[in-house]
Amino acid sequence: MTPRTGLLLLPTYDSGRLGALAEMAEATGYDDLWLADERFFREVYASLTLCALRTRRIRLGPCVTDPYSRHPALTAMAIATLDEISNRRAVLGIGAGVSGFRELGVDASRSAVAIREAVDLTRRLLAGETVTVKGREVSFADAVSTSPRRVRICPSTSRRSGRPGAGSRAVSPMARSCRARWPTRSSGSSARPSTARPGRPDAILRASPWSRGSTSASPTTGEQPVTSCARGSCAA
Amino acid sequence: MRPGLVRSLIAQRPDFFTFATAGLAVPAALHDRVLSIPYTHDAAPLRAVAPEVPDAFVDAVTLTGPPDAIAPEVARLARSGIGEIMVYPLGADGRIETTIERFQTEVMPRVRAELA
Repeated sequence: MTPRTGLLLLPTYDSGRLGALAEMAEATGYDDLWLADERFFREVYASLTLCALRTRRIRLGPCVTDPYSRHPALTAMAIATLDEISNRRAVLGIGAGVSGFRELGVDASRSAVAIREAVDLTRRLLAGETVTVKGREVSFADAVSTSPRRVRICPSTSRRSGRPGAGSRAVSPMARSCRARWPTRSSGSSARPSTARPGRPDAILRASPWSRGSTSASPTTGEQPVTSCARGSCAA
Repeated sequence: MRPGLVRSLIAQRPDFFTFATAGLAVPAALHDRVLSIPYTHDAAPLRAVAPEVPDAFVDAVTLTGPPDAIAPEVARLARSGIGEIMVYPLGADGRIETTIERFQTEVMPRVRAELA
């Protein structure tokens, strides 16, 4: 099956060029436009909004955000707003993150737990639940999102991040929770059939051209992702 | 490209997972310098280390060449079962538009033909 194609950009471009790049991505046939959520560049949701307003078809999302630089409840709010502005084209990539933590004074050493808890909270808020949770890394008290949105959430991993062993076990439960509790979104108005298959997790993995001869896109878990990144160093 | 690779190496400390999986060990001199730099997008410290990055590291994480050379590699990735190829475009002097357009208009038609 022919894979979807996505374009990943670091938001280093001024608004004129970013808008033109978004239009080009859509005109040439990319399925998805992903913007890195990294510090300290142009803000990712403002940039995604600009891209949404310049396009009609292409799917849009951060690749990837993280559980630390923005509270997951604020991430839920941001992606829901983008989904509304873009007429249901938003998708949320979330991973461990790397940039800006030192400057922000963030301890990101327990990223596997944080991602799992952030995915869970974000999903529940997007589903319109009133949520109170006290997790190991993510807590939230007694609030509800304004309007439920069906936004696909894609956990991301690329490496054994943080403490030894933590990352290698991280993506599997994250991807499983994504698969088990979040319905696969249909391909919407797109004429192209969705590549998401029931029973398969969405996960953004950083594969690279190195994976010669490998039949599994995930060297750490054996999970078969539906989304991948053909580059060794995309934003996380 | 090479400064970007230095940034990637810094992000992947301490085990340099992507490159280790590709069978590449970080040379000692490069290893020490990578450990000494905080994660940054600031080009200056990355450029200072860039000449230490071996060609094999560049080849391991990039697809470079004419569409006829790139398409089989993309098709091979597609056959691994992934559902989306995400392109991070590179171009001389930051001119990425040509890469963005040619991947979709020249590479992907060849990929589809190969997978058909």
